Amino acid sequence: MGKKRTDKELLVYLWNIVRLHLKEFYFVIILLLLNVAFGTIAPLFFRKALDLIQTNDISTTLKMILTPLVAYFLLMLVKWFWEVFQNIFKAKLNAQITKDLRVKAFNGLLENNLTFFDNSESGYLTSSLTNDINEMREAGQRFVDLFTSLFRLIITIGILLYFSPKLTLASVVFLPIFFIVVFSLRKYQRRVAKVWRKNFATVNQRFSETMRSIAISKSFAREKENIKKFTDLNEETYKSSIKRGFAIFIIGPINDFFRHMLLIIILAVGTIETYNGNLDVATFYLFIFLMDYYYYPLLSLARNYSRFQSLFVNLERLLDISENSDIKEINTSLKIAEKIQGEVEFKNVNFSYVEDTPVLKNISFHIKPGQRVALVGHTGSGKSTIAALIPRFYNIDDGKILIDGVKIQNYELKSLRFVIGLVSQRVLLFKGTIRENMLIGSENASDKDIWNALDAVQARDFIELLPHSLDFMVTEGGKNLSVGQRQMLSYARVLLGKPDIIILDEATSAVDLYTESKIQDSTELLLKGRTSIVIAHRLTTILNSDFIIVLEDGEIKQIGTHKDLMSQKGSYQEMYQLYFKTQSAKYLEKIKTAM
Amino acid sequence: MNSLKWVARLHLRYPFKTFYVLLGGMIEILLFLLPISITANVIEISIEGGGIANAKGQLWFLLGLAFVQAFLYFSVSFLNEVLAHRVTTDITQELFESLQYRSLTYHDSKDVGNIMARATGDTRTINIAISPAVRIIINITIVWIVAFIITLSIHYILALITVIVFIVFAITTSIYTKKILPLSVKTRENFAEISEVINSGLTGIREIKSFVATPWSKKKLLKTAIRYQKNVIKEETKSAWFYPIFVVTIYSALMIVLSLYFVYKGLFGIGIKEVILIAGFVSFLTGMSEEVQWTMWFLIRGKVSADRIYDIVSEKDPDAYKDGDLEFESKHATIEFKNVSFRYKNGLPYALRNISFKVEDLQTIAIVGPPGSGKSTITKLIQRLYLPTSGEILLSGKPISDYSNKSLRKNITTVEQDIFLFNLSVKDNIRYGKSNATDEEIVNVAKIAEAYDFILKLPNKFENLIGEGGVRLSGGQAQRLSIARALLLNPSILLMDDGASALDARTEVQIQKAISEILRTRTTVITTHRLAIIAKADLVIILENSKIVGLGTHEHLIRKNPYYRRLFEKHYELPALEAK
Repeated sequence: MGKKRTDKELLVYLWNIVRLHLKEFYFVIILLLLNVAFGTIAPLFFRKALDLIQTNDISTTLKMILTPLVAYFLLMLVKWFWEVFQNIFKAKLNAQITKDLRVKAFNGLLENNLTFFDNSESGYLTSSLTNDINEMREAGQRFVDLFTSLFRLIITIGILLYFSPKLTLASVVFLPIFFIVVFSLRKYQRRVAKVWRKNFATVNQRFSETMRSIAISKSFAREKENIKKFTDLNEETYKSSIKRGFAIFIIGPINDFFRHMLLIIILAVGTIETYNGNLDVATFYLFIFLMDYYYYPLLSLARNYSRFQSLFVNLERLLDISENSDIKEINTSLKIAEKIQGEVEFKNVNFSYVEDTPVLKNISFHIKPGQRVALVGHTGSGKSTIAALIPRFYNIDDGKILIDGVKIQNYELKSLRFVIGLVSQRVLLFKGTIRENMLIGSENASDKDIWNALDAVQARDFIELLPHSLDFMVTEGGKNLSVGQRQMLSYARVLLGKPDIIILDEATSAVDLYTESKIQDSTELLLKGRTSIVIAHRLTTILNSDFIIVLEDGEIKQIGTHKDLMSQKGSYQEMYQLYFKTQSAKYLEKIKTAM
Repeated sequence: MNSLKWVARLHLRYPFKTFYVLLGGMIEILLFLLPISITANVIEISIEGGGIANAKGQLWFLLGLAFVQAFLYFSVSFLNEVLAHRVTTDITQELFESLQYRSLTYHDSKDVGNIMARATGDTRTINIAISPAVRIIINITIVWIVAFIITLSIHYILALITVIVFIVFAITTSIYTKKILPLSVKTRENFAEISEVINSGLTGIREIKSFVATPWSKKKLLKTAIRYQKNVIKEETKSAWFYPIFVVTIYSALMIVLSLYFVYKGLFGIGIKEVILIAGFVSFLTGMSEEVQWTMWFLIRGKVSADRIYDIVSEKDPDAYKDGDLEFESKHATIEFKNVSFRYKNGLPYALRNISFKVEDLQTIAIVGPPGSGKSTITKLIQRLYLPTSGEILLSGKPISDYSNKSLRKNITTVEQDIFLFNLSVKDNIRYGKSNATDEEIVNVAKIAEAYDFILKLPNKFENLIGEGGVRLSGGQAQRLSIARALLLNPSILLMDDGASALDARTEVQIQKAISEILRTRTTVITTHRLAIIAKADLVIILENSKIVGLGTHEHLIRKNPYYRRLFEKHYELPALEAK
């Protein structure tokens, strides 16, 4: 998915976020630099004292000895406090960046088009926005450490050069080898980290899907199979995590080994130099004492390099899903859709979800403002697709969709969706109170407005019976309400937004006939004057419309009023004979006796 | 048992690895200390005016040590990582399995996003706590013991100081740890909230787009993200004040200053060699002790995470019921409800009140009523997904709780209202309840459910993948797959929950035909609003407000029951109402 991003692009993205906190950022850097300075200067006092004692000159007074010792002692204390401050500000900066990163990614993600969401799994995306970002925070911490380490490395080498260039050269001679070894592992580390990430996300996805479908699992007694399938994925992830572990932990021993080598070189060269009288013992020891000051930066670089790898892997993945222009909903216009008359026109519209599998072929129809239209057709004939195209959930392949004579691409996307109310087949309520769910599209509606909308869909009775009424907590997905109740809420929610064009995609399919007809009566007034497109299978609904569009396999077979269509020999008449007619009592009598 | 014991017990499943990591880790850190004393020896040679010839032996030894130490270090740290992943994999597995067998009442009360945060984030934290945090803590303890031995070899006063400092360090660390703990718990909770918000935003993306509710959703995340950020800062600020290390810093500086002072004064026979030994060692000790800060922090977080997972794994499920051992085998099944009342949770209104009816073998019963009247609840109770709050349900004359779960599931299947399809192939979705079904059987049920034709039109036919939750299928298609899925099991009781509500005219007729055939071969419970199907039922139950307001045949009810007539009067010409 998406194009390959260079490390530079990724860093630029991060930097753009860091830039928002520039003041804190510089502050942390200054704290770090001073901290390093304190740390590297202290050993010099130690060397001084050691030198004085070792040479054991008669002119050395107690005061001369004590001065560097006290200075050393004090510096160590200051360094400690300094580090505390540094860590506090580092944490602050880091937490801010993490928050920005997460919020930005989520906001970006929400702007993606529905094709993207159709093809992705929510568990996978969630894991990317939660765990991956947390992991990046860890990497961020290490990045700061690395920066400190490198600075310390430079200062230390400067000091050492001052005292003994020869010994310094001897001890840095193998650094290139070390770097080559570590960097050669780079690609391998990144690769295994990627595999592991993917497996980890798959396990999460499976876990969440299983949790979501637990009721059906139970009714099919699938617990054992669930566990077996999960075990396979879980073990697969285990294997890849071991590979990743290997890639990370191979660095440790390489490090230790080089550290020993470094010590051997310093000891050998130091002994020779001291023997030749080019070096005093105190300086010799300073090299050992400072050894870790320039060795640890390397260690930290090596140890954390793999973390940076995962930083890049994670960031890349995150940008793939949140900042990828290929999958964004593109807002092509700034023209705000408001005070819409409600004229809807399709002109030779072709559409496919997947390339080369057309779902709608050459669809053309024209709905005048205020008209009510019924879409009729078999399952999979493209009715819901037409409904999804009007609010521009998907972009059409060719042809035109016009609202009030203007192409829908020429409206600002959000304003377009504001004027269109879609009651979709799949109802989803959010965790929260009924009120919160109702207000989702119209934040400023009053309780009175809410009750009016609920009255229109006959939902008042059941809501009043619930504990806390409008403040009743709906659980995730609306699971603690029946499907019919959810449909009623979803319908009411759309009515509350007072859309100019309303699309009902089997809005009341799970509601009984009595309640449905009551809803029909009470929404009649609300729908009057608004353009409405109704997808339904019930005869009464169809008969109520101004005209009927008959779809078959993505094509329009017939358009006309019930009367027109009945007079033509075609799909509609056939459908009526087959089915609509069965919705009559006489027919029922017949089948009853036949059985 | 607490969570730590639980994690420890999981380790004991892998005794060799655990043993090797513990013992190898101790030896490895001791080997790592050797170079400090070798350094002191070599420098002493220089002080005494010796050359490289005198130091040779020591340096060769050091080279050999480099190899041994590197090997040991690698094997220990890598095995530790393997062990950590092994254990966290097991933890994930246990969590998953424990959730599988919980009652639906339990699941109703849990939020998927929240559980997912535990399954993902918390296992990662435990992983880091096991590798390397625990190992580092062990290493540090050993380094302190060595510090004690070295100082004791020089002078007992130094050793005494070491012991005191260590005790102060250990005590303050534990106090500090206890202070951080509640903050960590809070942070983890906030993190779970974030996960919940993101997850619900993504699953509800269609609604969010359609209602232009992206600002609402964004605001929601921003709020939780800021709360999380604040708590993280609070937690990390507190942990930055890791004052125990302050004691160690003073100690190490003091040790170096004192030993130099002793040499100057010529006290205790301390020479430059000892100074170097002490200086090398205390700076190493300080460095290691600094690591305690983050390792303890990871250990705490690991403990918190382990608690959170163990809470779920060990949580009592008050609604769990004992599985019966009676096999439900008969192809002839009767269903009887005796004064059954039920509510999903205390505090919620009753979903069913005092329901009694009986379905004879091979009969069909239709349940009708307005939304929320309890139709679906009845089918859920017949499946024993929940037990009635009061009253009794009899299947073939025996209490439902006597049967084994397995045999119930095998013989009662459902076409649920809220269809859930999996992101698997069409075939795998159909054979969901019977994984060893032959292709022939699958094709057969697909034909009966009228799904065959549209499946063949899919690019990959039976192997075609279905998107998450079945998004790439239309409602009617999803429903037909669900019917095929249920039929494949050839159940003796078939429950159809609003099974035909989203089907178009032609399919509906075909399905009605198919169902009519099935109806006569098994006991069937259908909740539906389709008069054509209702009319075929042997018994119709009318529910309103969780109560039965009508019970009888269609002919009877259509003439006598006002509730029943009300359902259809708008749509059909009804015969005149007769007095009761």
